[in-house]
Amino acid sequence: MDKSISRARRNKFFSHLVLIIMSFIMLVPFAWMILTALKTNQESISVNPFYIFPAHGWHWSNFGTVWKSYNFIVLYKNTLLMIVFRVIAACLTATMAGYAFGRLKFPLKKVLFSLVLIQMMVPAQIFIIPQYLMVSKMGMLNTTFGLVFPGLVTAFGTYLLKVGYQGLPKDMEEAAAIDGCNVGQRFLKIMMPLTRSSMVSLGIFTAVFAFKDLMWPMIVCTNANTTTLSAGLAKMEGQYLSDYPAMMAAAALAVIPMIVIYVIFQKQFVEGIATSGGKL
Amino acid sequence: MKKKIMEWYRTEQEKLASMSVKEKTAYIAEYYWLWILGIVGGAVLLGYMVYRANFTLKESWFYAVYANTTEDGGEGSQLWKDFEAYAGFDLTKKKLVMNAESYFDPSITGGTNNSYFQAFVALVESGDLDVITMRPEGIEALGVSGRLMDLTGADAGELGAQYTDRLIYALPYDTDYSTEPVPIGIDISDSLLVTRYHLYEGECAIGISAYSGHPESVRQFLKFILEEEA
Repeated sequence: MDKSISRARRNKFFSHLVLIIMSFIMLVPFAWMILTALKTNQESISVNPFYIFPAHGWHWSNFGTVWKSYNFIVLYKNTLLMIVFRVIAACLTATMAGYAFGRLKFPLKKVLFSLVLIQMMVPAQIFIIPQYLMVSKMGMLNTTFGLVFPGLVTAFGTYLLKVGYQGLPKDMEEAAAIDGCNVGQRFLKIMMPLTRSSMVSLGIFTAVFAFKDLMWPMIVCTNANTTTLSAGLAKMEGQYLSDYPAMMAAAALAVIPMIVIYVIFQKQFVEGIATSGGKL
Repeated sequence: MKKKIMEWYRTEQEKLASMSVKEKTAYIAEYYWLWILGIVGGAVLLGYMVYRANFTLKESWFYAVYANTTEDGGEGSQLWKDFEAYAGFDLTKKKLVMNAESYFDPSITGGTNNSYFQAFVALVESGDLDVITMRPEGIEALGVSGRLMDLTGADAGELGAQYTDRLIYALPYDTDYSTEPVPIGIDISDSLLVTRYHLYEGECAIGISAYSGHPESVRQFLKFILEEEA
């Protein structure tokens, strides 16, 4: 008995030890970013890999310099607007389409859903040129709408919500129908609230992908006042020389909104990954 | 469907008829707030789209991308103002686009997962982009993709002949007409972009999009940056 307890304890200790080590490894890039942000440029490009901490003092001024040089307030604003509108649009369209595909009967349902699935099977780059042309012809370049446009509808979201609606018991909807609810009322008052967790997962995925999106803002934003954090950071890399501490300071400032979002929605983040099986 | 809607309309009218104004407002707000929100939101969005589509300039006189620069060369910059004055564009009819918010890394080969390259391809293939500037290695890397104009070709032969001593060559991988490198760029290291506007330090080159629709503006731009006094 004692032997098995001590073995269990030992196993627990080693598994925890491995997890702690792995956690530290996961934190290395983040720590590296912060430490590089506090170095001089010369220190940051030192070839000595053990030259981890700044030798000539901690240069907190890098953060101030970057903040003054780049209009971070505008970058934050543009990025947040893009994220908020993409999340709203994705949740709104995906939940309606998901309900229709998951619960309603209508002609060509399978064919139409296959078309949705096909969108998930082809690379996103295929859509870039037509999407750009549409935004350009609508006169929406350099606007928030232009940034949000590719996220107005989501094939992944439609699929996720369709699965969510299919998993719900039919009894509730039937009971609501007997009580006199029409399709719209059943959807709004009964079914949609029950798929809240799927919608939160979709919202989180959409927010993270929007935050990481580099290509689209680079195409539709030709102006420093309309661009987003990801494209703004890419611009910081110079033609021949790069100021790595400044870049890392900017990257550290850029991740703040996502850290805040993560801290607020930590539970939903974990649930979202668990329920949808996706990776961020 | 029409019958159902008419029936619904009649029932609602009957209900509302027996209510006071306050009750009517409360009833509509309670039962139809989402519909009202949707219709108002949709109308605002539609109005905005119609307005942008009709009252925004969509065509451009000239579209330049200054990649890999940390300086301001975009709309409203000194370069933008000077070139607009030099070329005499009427900005009430078309716009002048200069984009200095772009980055390209020639060391990332291939198109997959290279967002910078894909952004360039989208701008070229859409026909919007006219010229792109960056260091010569970058222009060579883009030239390999076959999306920069062959300066000996019919569309740009004149430019190729005019700047013979400045040409930059690359061998496009998807052409079957040539096994020899073709001129796809022009060295502009001594241009105003370097000497007056300081967008670049050291070497710099320009590539013309294979689908550029504004050859005259391109010619004017080259003349402006290479022949104007610093």
